[in-house]
Amino acid sequence: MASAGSGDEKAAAAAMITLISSDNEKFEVTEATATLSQTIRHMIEDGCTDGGVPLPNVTSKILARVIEYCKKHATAAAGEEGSSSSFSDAAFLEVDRAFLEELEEFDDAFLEVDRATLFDLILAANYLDIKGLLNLTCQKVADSVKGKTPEQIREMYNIVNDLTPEEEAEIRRETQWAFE
Amino acid sequence: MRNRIAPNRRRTGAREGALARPHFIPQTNPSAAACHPPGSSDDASSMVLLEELVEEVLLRLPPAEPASLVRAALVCKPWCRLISGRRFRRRFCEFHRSPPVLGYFCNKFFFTDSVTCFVPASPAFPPRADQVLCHALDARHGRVLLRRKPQSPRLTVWDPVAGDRWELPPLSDAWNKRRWNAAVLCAASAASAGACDHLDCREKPFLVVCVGSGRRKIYLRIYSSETGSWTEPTFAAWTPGNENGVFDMAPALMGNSLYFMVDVAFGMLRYDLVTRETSMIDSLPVQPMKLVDGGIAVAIEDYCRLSLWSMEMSPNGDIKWAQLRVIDLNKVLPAGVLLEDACYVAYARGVGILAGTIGRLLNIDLESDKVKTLYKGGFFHGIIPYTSFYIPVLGSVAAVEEPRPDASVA
Repeated sequence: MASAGSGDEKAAAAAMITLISSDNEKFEVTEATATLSQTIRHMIEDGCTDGGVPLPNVTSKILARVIEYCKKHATAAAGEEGSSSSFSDAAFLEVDRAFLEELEEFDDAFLEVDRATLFDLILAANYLDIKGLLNLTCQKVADSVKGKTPEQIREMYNIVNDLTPEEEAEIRRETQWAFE
Repeated sequence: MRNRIAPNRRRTGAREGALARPHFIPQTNPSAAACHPPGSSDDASSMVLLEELVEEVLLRLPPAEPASLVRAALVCKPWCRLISGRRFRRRFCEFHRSPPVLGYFCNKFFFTDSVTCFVPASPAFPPRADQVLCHALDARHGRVLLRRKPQSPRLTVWDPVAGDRWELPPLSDAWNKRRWNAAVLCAASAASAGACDHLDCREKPFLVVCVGSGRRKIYLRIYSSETGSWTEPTFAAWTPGNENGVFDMAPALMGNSLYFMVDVAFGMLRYDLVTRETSMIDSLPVQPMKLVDGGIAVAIEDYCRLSLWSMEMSPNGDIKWAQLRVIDLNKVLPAGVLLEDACYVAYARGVGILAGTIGRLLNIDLESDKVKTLYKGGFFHGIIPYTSFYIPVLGSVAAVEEPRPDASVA
């Protein structure tokens, strides 16, 4: 994964950006891929990407996954732009649907990770300001919380219950219906 | 327990991320990086998210299942405070954009009179007692409008989520002889466009617009919660030769105008909330139609053909109708289920068609044509879908709000 992004660039002229993980691994990616991150986009606009972009909050393991996500979604975005002029509406819609389905499948597979990795992906998505990735990962956690009891949620996410028994009893009295 | 990474709240001028999330440039902010030492991602403590990201997760709980938010609020104090806080409330509404259907107010016959029962859309929802001797007329912007029976026309506005009730001054006895109908809505609807997004305006003032037909005339009265009184009756329309007047069907809000179905020349009465002008609109494709906010109408012909229409207004104020769907109810409904009358049909976005039959409230999903029974019992003569966000504010724990660092950033 360390050489992610170096093999499949269609346009040789595409500007390349080097991202440096917290453990000093270098990843070369296209600007289109990198700018899915608003944080990096702003750095590019400010002209401070020469010599690579250090990302001290993101390990190489997580950065590789983030880049995998960005490459897929940047390709999808480019595909949509490119196809709009060369297809009839119906054909475009068909291509569009196929794209979306493929992207959904990719996202589902992408989320098949352990909880620690998922949380690190959320932190990285937040830090790098990648809206789609933050939405995807946070929704995954929200879906796991949905329908669970407070006890199950605490256990799943190692959360200490700091509500006093009185406070908990008071809230449960007010919201009995939610536990039936 | 949740400070593995200090939230970086420094803003870089006008540029903000798509989520308005403050981002930082690592070279100029080494202290933030130090909070997340390299190579520690497998550490058990990474299982704990900082509060800012807990908020991102909890925002994505489904608004149509209010119990999920309540259960999450019982996890620990920070989660409870977060969910009960104003900031979360606002963000939750803005994130989901349209309030979910929390349930349906169903008018049923109760001996010789009426009772309104609340049928929740989600299995886990706070129970609401039946409103005996009441008839639900309309619901909008988090409130439901009830007509109390059997004495002189009295209206009650009720917010079933917050539990607030407003008893309106009674209308004169003359209204008892009239056929009339009324709408409830946020008072900002009568102000300029965009004055309120109506996502969470239950604490704001409201209006009740009442339309009744007298002898050859239609009258209009408006109640404002700010003044606490009704306006004097305004003459709204001339109805020559027809005294059936106003239909007992929930009115609809579209743009700045309220639309009431009237039994005159296949028409409806439009009341423009901003200009305060009324006009009659005729040439409806089918009569009567059940109107829905935003310009959808449902009609039933010959007890079996249900049609769904969209209503669009051209710049010169003319209404254009387009048929969206026709459903043959004989094919869709289970054998033995009969629809009595067009009045018992409703439509709710994201839910589909609701039909009150003898003894059953049915939901027809418009994508699959599948029918499911939402409620059994009673003879329905009206269904009012109720949409609102439900975000709990819980106990004394929530009363102490933590300081919000973001609040000071302009």
